[in-house]
Amino acid sequence: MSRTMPPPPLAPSPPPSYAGTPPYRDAPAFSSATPKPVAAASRPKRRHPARSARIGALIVSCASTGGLGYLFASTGGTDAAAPAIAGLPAPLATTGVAAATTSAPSVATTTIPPATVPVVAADAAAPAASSAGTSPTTAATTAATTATTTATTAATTPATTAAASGVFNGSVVETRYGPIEVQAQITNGALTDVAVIEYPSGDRKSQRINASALPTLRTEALTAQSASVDTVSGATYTSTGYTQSLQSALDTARAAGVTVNA
Amino acid sequence: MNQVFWYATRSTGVVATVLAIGSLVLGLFFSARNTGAKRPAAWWLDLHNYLGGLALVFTGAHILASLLDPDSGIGIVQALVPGTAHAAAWAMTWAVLATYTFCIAVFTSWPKRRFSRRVWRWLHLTSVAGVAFGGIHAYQLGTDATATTFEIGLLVGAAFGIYAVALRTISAIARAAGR
Repeated sequence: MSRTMPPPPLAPSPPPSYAGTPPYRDAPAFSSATPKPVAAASRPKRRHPARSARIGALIVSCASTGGLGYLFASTGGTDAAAPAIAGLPAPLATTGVAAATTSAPSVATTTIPPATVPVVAADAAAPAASSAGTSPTTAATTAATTATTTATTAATTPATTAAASGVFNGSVVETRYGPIEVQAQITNGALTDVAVIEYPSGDRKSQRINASALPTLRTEALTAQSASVDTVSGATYTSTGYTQSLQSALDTARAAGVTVNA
Repeated sequence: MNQVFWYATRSTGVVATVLAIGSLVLGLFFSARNTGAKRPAAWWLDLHNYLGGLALVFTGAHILASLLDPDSGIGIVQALVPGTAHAAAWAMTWAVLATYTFCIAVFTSWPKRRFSRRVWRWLHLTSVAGVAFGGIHAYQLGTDATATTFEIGLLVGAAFGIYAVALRTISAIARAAGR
């Protein structure tokens, strides 16, 4: 009888090292767990080689999300210089009743100052000025004064002395991207122009969208002779704010006795 | 409250984009065997897997926040079916496709051994297109897409991604030529 030596106990194999450039496709799973299935209770906890990097990535990601959210909330976007939009008229000095406004927005907007010399709201006194031989500037100034007086008078007694012309500001409508305020110019009972006093311009995207949408909305409003215009695709907020502000301006005009004969 | 969801949508979108690009770059560096000898290959693979999963989680948070935002105009259908968004249809289409490719890349990595190597690799490589789709979506639709900081970041991310893709492609060509 021969005696055989008992086999030496198996030493636990060290975790595989991938230092160098072994082909990863042939490498076993990086877990140090034994490949043999064992009971769940005794299964060793899976070890991740990049555990600290994982934790760091998670912390950085969550912190970045929170930080960006705070940044967006505090700034409302990015600030950039707002260019003038081609094809939009400058607003005029209003002749209507002052529209209600809300508090100033936190995001950047562009406010266009009223023009010093009105052009449209001069129909009431224009014949008289031309017949008197005065200069155009004087005539316009006189006409504006007359129109203002007429609109103010109409506001007090709309039933008896209804003015057919006037310039009226709409209310400031707050949108997600900033406030919008438009100005309706009514001449002889027709909506002759719609100017934008304020629009969202806090970032270049808003500027790009509004540069395209606002002239379209103006054209639609002039065609419809009302605030019932279709929403411009890709400019939902601008369209909604524009129509609301324009409707407000028309309501103000109607209250002052100036109606649009659509 | 709507603004909170809007800010969450934007911030999670930015972070998801960064994580996706990071995971892509790490994965391509790893498969090109260009991770160096300082750390074991398993470390890079582990981090790549984790960043990919994290990118998917943040993408899910991005979608969830946009769904919860009543002003976003995005519903379940728009979030799941390409081309159904009312506004910015193409930008939303890229987003939906990117999400699907992320899901394919992540969820086929777990049962990796059930696929043939070739099939799995092609499925996994769709995530390269997914990251590109995500970047296009961010550029076309992102509120911050026109911010200078975001543009620079997206440009740097794209440069890293293109470099990694080029590195991986050259490595594969060299390996095929050496056989």
